[in-house]
This record gives sequence, C-alpha cells and structure tokens, in this order.
Amino acid sequence: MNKFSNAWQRFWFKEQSPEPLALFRILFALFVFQVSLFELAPNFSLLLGAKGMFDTASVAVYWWQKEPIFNVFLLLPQSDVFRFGFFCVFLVFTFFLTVGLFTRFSAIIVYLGLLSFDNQCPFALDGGDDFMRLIAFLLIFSPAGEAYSIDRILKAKIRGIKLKDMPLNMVSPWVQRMIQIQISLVYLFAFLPKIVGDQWQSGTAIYYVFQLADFAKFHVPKIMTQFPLYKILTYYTLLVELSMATLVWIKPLRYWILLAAVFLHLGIDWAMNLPCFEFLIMSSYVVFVDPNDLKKVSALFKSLLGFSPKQNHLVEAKIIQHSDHVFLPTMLFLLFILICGSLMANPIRQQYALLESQRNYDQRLAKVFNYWNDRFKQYSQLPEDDEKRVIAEEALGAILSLKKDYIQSGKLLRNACERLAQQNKAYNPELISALSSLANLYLETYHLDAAELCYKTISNYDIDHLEYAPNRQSIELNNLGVIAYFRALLAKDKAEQTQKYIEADRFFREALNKSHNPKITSNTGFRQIEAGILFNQSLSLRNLGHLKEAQTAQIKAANINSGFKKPQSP
Amino acid sequence: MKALNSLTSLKESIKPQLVNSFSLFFINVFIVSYFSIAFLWLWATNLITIKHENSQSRTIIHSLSAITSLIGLEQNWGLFSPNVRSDNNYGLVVIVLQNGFLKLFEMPRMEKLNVLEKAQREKFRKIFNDNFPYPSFRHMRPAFSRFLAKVAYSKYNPPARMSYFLVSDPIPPPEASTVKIPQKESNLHPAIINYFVYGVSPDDFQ
Repeated sequence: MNKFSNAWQRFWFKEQSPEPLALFRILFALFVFQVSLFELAPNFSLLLGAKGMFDTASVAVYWWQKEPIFNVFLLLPQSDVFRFGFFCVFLVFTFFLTVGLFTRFSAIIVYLGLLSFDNQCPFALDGGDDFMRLIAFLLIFSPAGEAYSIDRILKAKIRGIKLKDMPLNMVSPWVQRMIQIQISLVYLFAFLPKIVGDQWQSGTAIYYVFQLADFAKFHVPKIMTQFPLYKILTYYTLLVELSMATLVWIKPLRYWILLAAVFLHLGIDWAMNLPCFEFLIMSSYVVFVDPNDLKKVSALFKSLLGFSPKQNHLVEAKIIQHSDHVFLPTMLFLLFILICGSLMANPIRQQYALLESQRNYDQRLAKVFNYWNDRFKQYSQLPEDDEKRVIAEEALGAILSLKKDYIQSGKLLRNACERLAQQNKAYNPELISALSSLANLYLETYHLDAAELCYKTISNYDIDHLEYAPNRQSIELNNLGVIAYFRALLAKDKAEQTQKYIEADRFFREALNKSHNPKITSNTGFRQIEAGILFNQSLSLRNLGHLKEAQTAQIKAANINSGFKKPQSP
Repeated sequence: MKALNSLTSLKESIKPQLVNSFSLFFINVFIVSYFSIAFLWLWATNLITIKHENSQSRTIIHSLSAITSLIGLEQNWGLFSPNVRSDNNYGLVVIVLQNGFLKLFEMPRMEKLNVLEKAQREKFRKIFNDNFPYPSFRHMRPAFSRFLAKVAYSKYNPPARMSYFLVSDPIPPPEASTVKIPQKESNLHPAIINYFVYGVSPDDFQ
C-alpha cells in the first residue's frame, strides 16, 4: 500500500520544470485563436448568432433537454451585438493566454468561451472541439504561466530583479500528467471501437477513408488507394493508436512512438480536411517531452539561430512552487460560476421551452391534419364533384404527403385532380395546385416519369389557357429541369449523368427565355422566379464543370435578390 | 544572489504543511473523479456506437450527464468507427414555392470548395453530412427549415414545402483486394433518399 502511495505521489506530484506545460499553453492558445478567427468568426451569425441556422429555443429543448448548461449567450441580451462582443472578449483573453498574461484567469475565460460556443452549436463539434474544451478546463488548474509568460516578467519586475536572475520555479506536474493520460484516452477510445469494425479488421478502412469526397483535402496518389498500401496504412493507424495509449508510457520507446504518431497525423492532415484536430493533438505531444530534452532542443535552436546561451539563461533553483494550494479556491470559484450561470439561464430556458412547445412541428401537423380530416369526413356525404369535398380531399392529400403517408395521399390527390379536371371552369388554378402536389409526391417517392407527366400536363393546360396564365410556362419548364437534374443524380454512369445535366440546363435556359416576357419581369414576384431559375441553372452548370458560367448565373441571381434583405445562407 | 536566497527562505517559511495536504487531498479526489467520469463516459458511448442499443450504457450516460453537461466533459473519439462510411453523400433540398416553382438548395459540398474554403466550412460539413440526415437529428430539422424558409421568403411567392433528400453515391469495393467485403447489389447504385418533408407555415417567417 505504501509502495503504491509513494508511486502515486511520485507520478503526480514529483516536482519538475513547468517549461513543457508552458510551451503547450502557447501552442494550444494559438490553435484556439486560429480556429476562432478562421472557422468561427466568418460563420459567426450562422453558427452562433441569435438568428442563426438553428435557433436557441430548439437547441435548448431538443439538445440540452433538462441538463444544467453553462452558456454565456443565455445570460446576454439576445442580440448578435452582445454575442459578438463576448466573442471579441474571448479573443482578447485567448491572446492573453498565448502570451501568458493573467494566465489562470485567461484560461478560465477561454474555457467558459469554448464551453459556451460548444453548447450553442453542439452538433457542429468534432474531436478538435472536444479536445480544446477539455484541455482548456485542465489548464485552469495548471502552473502554465510559470514559464514563457508575461506573468513571469511582471513577477520579476515586482520583485525588482532581472528576468534572467528570476528563478524558474519547479512545479508539481499533476495537470501535465492529466493531459498526458487524456491524450492516451483519446487514442485508446479511437482504437477500441475500430477493432470490431469489418473494414478495420480486413485492412480496407483507409481505402474507404481516401474515397470520402467530403473529407478530401489534397490529392492522394492513386497508389495509396491500392493493395497492399491501403492495408498497411490501415494497420499502421491501429498500431499507432494502440501504442499512443499504451507503449508511449515506456520511456525508451516514447519518442519513437510520438514520431510515428506525428507521421500518421501529417498523413491524415495531407489527405483529409480536419482543420483543427491534427495539429492540435500533435502540439499536445510536447507534454510528453522530458524537460531536460526540451532544454537541449531549445539550446540547439538557440545555437542555430546564433544566440549565446548566456543571453536567455534562466536561473533554475530548487524552489517548489506550491501553486497547488490555489486548486481548491479555483475549483470552487469555477463551480460557483458554472452553477450560477446555469441557474440564471433557467428563466430564459423556460421561455424557450414554451416557445418551442407552441411551434412543435409534429403537433402543428397533427392539428392541421385533424382539421382537414374532420372536414373531409363532414363533406364525404356530398357528391364526389362538390367543390367543398374536392378542396378538402386535395388539402388532406397534401397533408398526408407531409406525414409521408404517400399511398393514401396519392389516392386523394389523384381523385381531386380528376374531379377538378371535370369541372367546367374557364381556368382552374386549383387543378394546377392539385397537380403540383401530386408531382411533389411523385418526386419525393422517386417516380420521376410520373412527376414529369404531371408538370407536362400543367404545361399543356397552361398553353391552352395562355390568356389566364401567361407567366406560368417558365415555372413548368424550370420544374422539368429539376426532374432532369434528379435523373442526372440517379444516372448509372458519367455519360448518362452529363447528358441529363445538359438536359436540365436546356430546360432552365428555356425557362429563362420564357421568363423574359416584359409582362413578367415587371412583376417582383416573377423577378424572384427568374433568380430561382438562374440559381437552379448554376447548380447544373457547376456539375457539368462550367464553373465560370455557374458563377455568372449565381451572381445574376444574387443581383436580382439583392433588393430583398435576407439572412445569409450557408 | 542575495535576492534569490531571501526568496528561498520566504518560500520555505510560507510552506504550510496542513494547507498543502488539504489541497493534495482534493487534487487527488479531482484526478480520480475526472478519469472515472471520462472512462465511464467513453466506455458507455463506445458500447452504444458498437452495439447501437445498450440500456446499461444509457443508464451510465444518463447518470453522468448532469456533471458532464455542466462542466463540458463529454468526449467522443470514435471517428470512422466501427466502420468508415461506404458512400459519398450530400444533402439536397427541394423548396416548393406557393405557385409550384421548384427551387434547389444544395447543402454545402466540400468537394466543390478549395482548400481554404474547406477549412472554413468544416463545421457545415459536420452539421449537414454527419448529423442532419440521421434520426438523432430529426428534432432540429424544423429549426433549420424555418431558417431556410426565411432565406427563400418572398412576399409574392413564399415557400410552401421543403423536401430533404440525401444524394448517396456508393464507394466501389477496393480493386485487387484479397478480401471480399460483402456488399448488397442494390447498394452499388447511386440513390436519392427522401428523409424529411416540412410544410411551411406563415408563422415561420416571423
């Protein structure tokens, strides 16, 4: 027992230099800075804004549910100005953490900021975000400001001694050890779920990874995706992950394993777009480096850069920094902030819960369904071609298709179309509406021929009634273009796909020609239709590889839409 | 040197053993608690990833979730586990305007972006490729639909319906492989999957 206790004490608390941790602090804060400026800032209003893609009420009800959550945004007025203001404060303190100014307090602000961003947009998180948040939390309790920091310079000034005469305090490395074990946990739980996978066992996993178009970054040579290289790389990945969880703790092997892991991550970073995680985890390896080795490397760099060792000489004394006594007050302070922040957010979370319950989509759909179902039952005694009954039939059919009851919906809509066609009206917009609903149903159930037939029927009907509907033809042509676009998506080979995209493009061009009717362009609503056609066309052009034309079409669409103020789209 | 000596003696004199051991006790408690929570959480979430449904794991996650949510201790390192996705997919939304006009909206397609844009929009890939089409995300889809309805809004011709499709293109099995991965014939063709339909209401534009 005593042996274990001694070993425990030695492992967690045997004093050592704070330099590896301080160096990691700098690298970590730089990565937080880079992610914040490069990934979060340009997409701030969409991801974190008060009127972003996913409103806070939905996130609160469906994601946080009843769990206690700390989110600074809940404590601020619900406006982007305040949210962005906090983001700027966060950036300032990230900079402070980098340079080591008010290090512990800066770490607290950085942690609270990351926690808030992660809670605000929890479905955008990847491993890099989780790792940053966990490390920021641990850094709060660390003596990371004891070296390479402005805090150290300030301390020297206060004590009235020169920086070079300032002793480098030894610290107990328990936070550094926690970060080391956390890194090993990352690899252990990256390795364990993989070994049960067929692809990892058969050695084909990396082949599939290289084929994922949404992850691809730079070009991967074809040989890498061929046997036996993909197999070697698959097993290399598993071996490195297991070693980083286990063998990295054996000192003589440590640097070799770290080197192998660096190669793995450099390879991943070349092939895959994981902008934050790879370099962040590689930078964390510095906590595994022995302080004496770090000094040797530092001395080597200094000599290479032409600095004399005396210039940056740090007097190292066997003074143990008992910063551990700040652990308890810091932890209590942090818990106080988190619990108070969570409790203070309860009133606004209750408001969100109320708002979300009022607009619950399933309930709304059920309500509308019940209304039209009752109507339909009520009118079912009326003759089949009675207008009230047909309208109820069409409405119920459209709602059932929203509930994905396509069989019943199709029956009702087809019936409604037949009855509406039999009515002797000069022009029947309800027939077009019913046919459009039927076409949507066919599109959603991949019956493209049937959907096309519906749009062609509407088109023929409109041509026959041009005096009533001079501006509808562009709509049907556009919709036929969309059907062709879907056919392209389902094409079995590249040639068929290209042919279908060309067909779609032809429909969109014809639709644009029809929309250039002066009667139409004077109408703002139809100017937007023109913009819509241009946008659809830009997609087919882009898929055909006509990037410049696609861009021109998009710019034209944007210019037409520029008169309307809208939220930015992703 | 004199300053250094006085500093050393000062440090020695303010080394209260009692406070130190008191702090150490809490540090030890913190270390053990942190890793117990982390290990249990990771173990439970991994069992769910592998076995899909595991009531014991859900109980563990549920009992830990108050502390992990408050402090932000959730972690998941299971990218590409237990298997790598064997298809390329992206989202496509067909917005049906009130007059029947179909407007296409493509979810961000990373393969069409340059390296800088890819890095900048990685969060959108995460949302729209890794989360949006899957059942666990179904409650959030109306929230995005409301946002999209506002983006596509026109006084004269507002959106009436949105159909969400997943365009999926299977990755062919590796050539010249010594291993055969069982793959259904039907899975080897491109597919479009309609996974959600949203009926827009006038309240959505407010």
